[in-house]
Amino acid sequence: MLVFPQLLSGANTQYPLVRTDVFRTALNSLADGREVKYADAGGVATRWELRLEGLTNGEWAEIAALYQAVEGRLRTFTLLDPMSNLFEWSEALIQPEWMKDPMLAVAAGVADPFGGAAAFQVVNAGQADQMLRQVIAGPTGFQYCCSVWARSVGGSNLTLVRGGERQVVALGVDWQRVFTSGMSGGSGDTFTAGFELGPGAAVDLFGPQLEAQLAPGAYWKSADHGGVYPKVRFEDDGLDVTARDVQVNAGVLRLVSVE
Amino acid sequence: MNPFPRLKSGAIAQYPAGRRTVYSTWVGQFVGGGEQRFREYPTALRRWLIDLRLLTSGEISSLRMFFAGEQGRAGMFQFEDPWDGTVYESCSFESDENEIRWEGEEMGRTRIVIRQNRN
Repeated sequence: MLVFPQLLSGANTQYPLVRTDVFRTALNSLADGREVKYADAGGVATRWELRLEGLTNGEWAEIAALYQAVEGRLRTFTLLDPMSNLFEWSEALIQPEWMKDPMLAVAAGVADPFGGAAAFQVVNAGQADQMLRQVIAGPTGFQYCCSVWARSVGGSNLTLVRGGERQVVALGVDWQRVFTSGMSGGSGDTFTAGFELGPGAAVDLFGPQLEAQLAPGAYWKSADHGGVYPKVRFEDDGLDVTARDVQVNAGVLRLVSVE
Repeated sequence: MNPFPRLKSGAIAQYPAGRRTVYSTWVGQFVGGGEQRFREYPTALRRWLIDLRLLTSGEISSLRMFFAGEQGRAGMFQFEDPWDGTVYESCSFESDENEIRWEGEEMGRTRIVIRQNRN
């Protein structure tokens, strides 16, 4: 699996970052200003412009190796979008993409920490630990951060699951954003993250987010498409790098997803 | 139709904001230097330039989802003119591309052009 690499910081890009959502519309303009329009579903694309500065030789070598492996614009690779939540349906935990163990009950419409009603109550009515999780098509060995706003009126614990790692968090009555972060061992093409509740536990959850970086960033609401883009290409057949000093490299990368 | 999403502040636009009034005139020029003109648009159409800065991830998500729901310029939506509060029932994005510039944590920027449709 070819994947756009992470930098030494654990992130895969820097600011400023430009992302463009592209659609295609067949358009017929009439003289009086009216228009006849049809959306072309086959023309949907996403573009990124990554401006990378201060990269070490090792960091740039990984990007160059990917560029060589895909032979410029020829082949595709996977990109974990830094401006997206890698979880799908972050405000719809009842969607089938969220795999629920059988004794978990999920109820929508709970007051969230930002004045809305987009949080969920999750209750484990069983006698064993029960998990709510998603499997993403991202590399197993990357740096990931799994976060969620959580609270529990009854003082239940919540276990954050990040690959094979588990972190137990004690919850109070106030909302707090809890997270687990790190690099999981092993290699593979999928990664599992989610939340586990002990027997009888009842918690409120809002805004679950998975990111390929060290710490939780801005919250991105997601719907039917998470931040994993499996068919991304370089837009150029040339890769330019500027060495500004010893171990200080810079370059601009233009990528496009053509799913 | 769906209304264009508002920012967290409740506003639709930020300064500087642009508005354009558009007519279309057919101009025929004669060899002798004379001209003949015809009105092509029965009434003027509006366009608005919405230049937004310091957007949060929530505001960016909202705009991105709205743009995707409209499928770029193919869709039609309701837009309230930020200059005078007039609600235009049928408007569209001018472009099929929506560029979001993320300049720092919770510092998003985008420029959107919205046009009034002729029904």
